[in-house]
Amino acid sequence: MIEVTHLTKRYGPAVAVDDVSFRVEPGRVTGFLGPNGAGKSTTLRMILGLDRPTSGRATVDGRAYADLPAPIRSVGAMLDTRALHPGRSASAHLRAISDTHGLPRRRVGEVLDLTGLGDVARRRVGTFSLGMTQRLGIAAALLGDPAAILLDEPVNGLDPEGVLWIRALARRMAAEGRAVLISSHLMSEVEQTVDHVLVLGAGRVLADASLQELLDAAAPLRVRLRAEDLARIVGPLVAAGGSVLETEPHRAEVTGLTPDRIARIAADHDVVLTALAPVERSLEDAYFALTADAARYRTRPLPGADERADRLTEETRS
Amino acid sequence: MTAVHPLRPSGAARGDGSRVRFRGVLRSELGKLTSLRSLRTALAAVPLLIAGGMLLRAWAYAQTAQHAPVGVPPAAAWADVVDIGTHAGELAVVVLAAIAAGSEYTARAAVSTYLAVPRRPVVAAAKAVVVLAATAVLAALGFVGGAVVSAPFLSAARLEAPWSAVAGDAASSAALLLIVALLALAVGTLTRSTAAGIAIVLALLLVGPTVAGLLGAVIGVDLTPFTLTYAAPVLTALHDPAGPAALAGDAVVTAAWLVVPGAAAASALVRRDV
Repeated sequence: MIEVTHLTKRYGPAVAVDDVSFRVEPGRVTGFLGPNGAGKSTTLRMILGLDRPTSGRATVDGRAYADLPAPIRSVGAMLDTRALHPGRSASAHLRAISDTHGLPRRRVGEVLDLTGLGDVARRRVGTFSLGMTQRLGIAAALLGDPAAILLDEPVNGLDPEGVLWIRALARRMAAEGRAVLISSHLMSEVEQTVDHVLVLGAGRVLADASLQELLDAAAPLRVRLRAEDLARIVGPLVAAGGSVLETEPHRAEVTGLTPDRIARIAADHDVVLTALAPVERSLEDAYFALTADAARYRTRPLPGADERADRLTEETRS
Repeated sequence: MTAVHPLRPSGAARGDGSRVRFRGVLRSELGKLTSLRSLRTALAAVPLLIAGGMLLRAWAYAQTAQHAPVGVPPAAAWADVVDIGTHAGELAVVVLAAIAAGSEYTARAAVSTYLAVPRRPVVAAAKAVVVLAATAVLAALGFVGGAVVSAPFLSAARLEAPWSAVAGDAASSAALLLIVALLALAVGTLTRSTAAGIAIVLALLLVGPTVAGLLGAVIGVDLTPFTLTYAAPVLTALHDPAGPAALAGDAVVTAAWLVVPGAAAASALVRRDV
C-alpha cells in the first residue's frame, strides 16, 4: 500500500503540493486527476523519492521508497516517457534497469514482447514514436513484476489497441491484488478503468472517494422527461423537492428526484409522460464541478468561436 | 509491428530474491557505458589518443635525429613521449567521464536510474568505479601500444631507454588520468551537463595554469603549485622539482581539487530533485 501523509512541496513562495494525504489501496485501480499544475506529477515524484518533500512523508508498505530493498519489485512507475537516453536501444535501456536488481535477462524480452516491442528491441529509442516510447515506459514499469504500479498519463500516444490493453492491464493488476494508480486527463478513459478517484486541485486533495460516490456527490442525478401537459407537473415536482429546468416546449430536466419518484408524481396527477430517462452522469461533469475553482491555467474562448458554433447549430437544425 | 500481446503472468521477476546489490548496479553502469555510441567512441579514443600522441612525438624525434643529434637523454625523451600521450589521453578521459555523468541528466535518464536505485550515492559510486576501471585498463592499453609503436622511431633516433623507466612514466601518467577522470565525473555530476562538465574541466586543465600565472604576477605570489595541472603530475610521478618535502603539499592540493568538487557534487546529488 502507498500512503501519503501531509505531503507538502514548496518552490520558493509557490506551493505545488499542499498538505496532501491519501492512500493507494491494493486490489483497486485509483484514478489520479487534476488540472495542469495541480501537483499530481510532483506528488508522484515525491512518492518515488525523485523530489524531496518540504514536509510530510510518503511510504510504500510502510517504508520510504529509498529504503525499499527492491524498489522496482515494490513499485513499477512510468512518470516521464522522455526518461531514457535516445541513443540506447530498448533492450539496453531495460537491461540497465533489470541489472540493478539482478533480474533474469529473459525478463527484458518478456516485457518487450508483452508491450509489443519485441521486434524493435535493438532499435535506438530516439527513433521511436510517442506511442512506442510510451510502451517502453510501461515495459520498464512492469519489469519487476511490481506489487504496485504508478502510471502517469499511460495512454498518451497509444493507438486504440494499446489503450484497451492498458485498461485490461490495470484491471488485471488490481484483480491480482496490486495497487494501481493512474494519472490521466482522459476522463472517459479513467471512468472506464478506475474504482476509486483522487482529485487534486491547486496542490490540495479535492476528492478521495469511490467513483460512484464521486459521481453521486459532484454530479446530482438528472432526469429528462417529456410531457404534453408539462405545466401541470412542475409544481408537484418542485413541491417534492425536485428542481425543474424546462429545456424545450414540453421537455424538462429534473434534478433531485429519481425516475421512479417522478413517474409516481406524474401518475398521481394524471400526467402522461411520453419520455422519462436519467441523464448519464459522467466523471467529466464531476471533475469540472470539483475543479472549477482550482485550475491554475485557464484557456480563453477562441475569437469568433461562439458565432461559428451558432452558425453550425443553425445549419444542423435546417 | 508493435501490436501488444494479451497480458500474461510472468513470474520471472518474482520469488527469485532479486534486490538492489552493488554488484548489480556496477553491471548496470557497465552496460550503460558500452551501450551508447558516444561513450563507446570516447572509450576507444582513450587508448588511440594516448598511443597516437606518443607515436607523433616519437616520429618527431626521429625526424629531428635525421638532421642532428637530438641532445636529450633517452629517459627524458621517453618521458616526453609519454607526456604527450598523457595530454592527448586527458581529452578523451574528460569527455568519457563527463558524458558518463552528464548524459544521465541531459537525456533525463536519471529518472529511470533513480527509480531503480533510489540511493543516489550508490549509483555515483558504481559509475565512478566503472569509469575509473575503464580508464585504467584503456590507459594501460594505450601506453603499452604507444610504447610499442614509438619504440622503432626512438631507436632510430638512438633514444633507447630501459623499459622499467618507461613503465614507471606510464604508470604515473595512468594515475594522473584517473585523477582527471574523477574530477570530470564530479564536475559532470555537479553541473548535470556533459557540455558544461567537459568545458569546465578542460578550462581547469588548459587555461588554469595561464590564469594562475597572470594572477600570481599581479599579487606577487607563485600560484602555479596550486593548480591541478602542476600538483597532480608531480604527485603521481612522485617527483617535485621543489624537493621531496613539497610532495605533501602537492598531495593536499590534488586532494583539494578532488574533494571540493566531489563534496559539492555529492551534496547536489543527494539534495537536488531529479
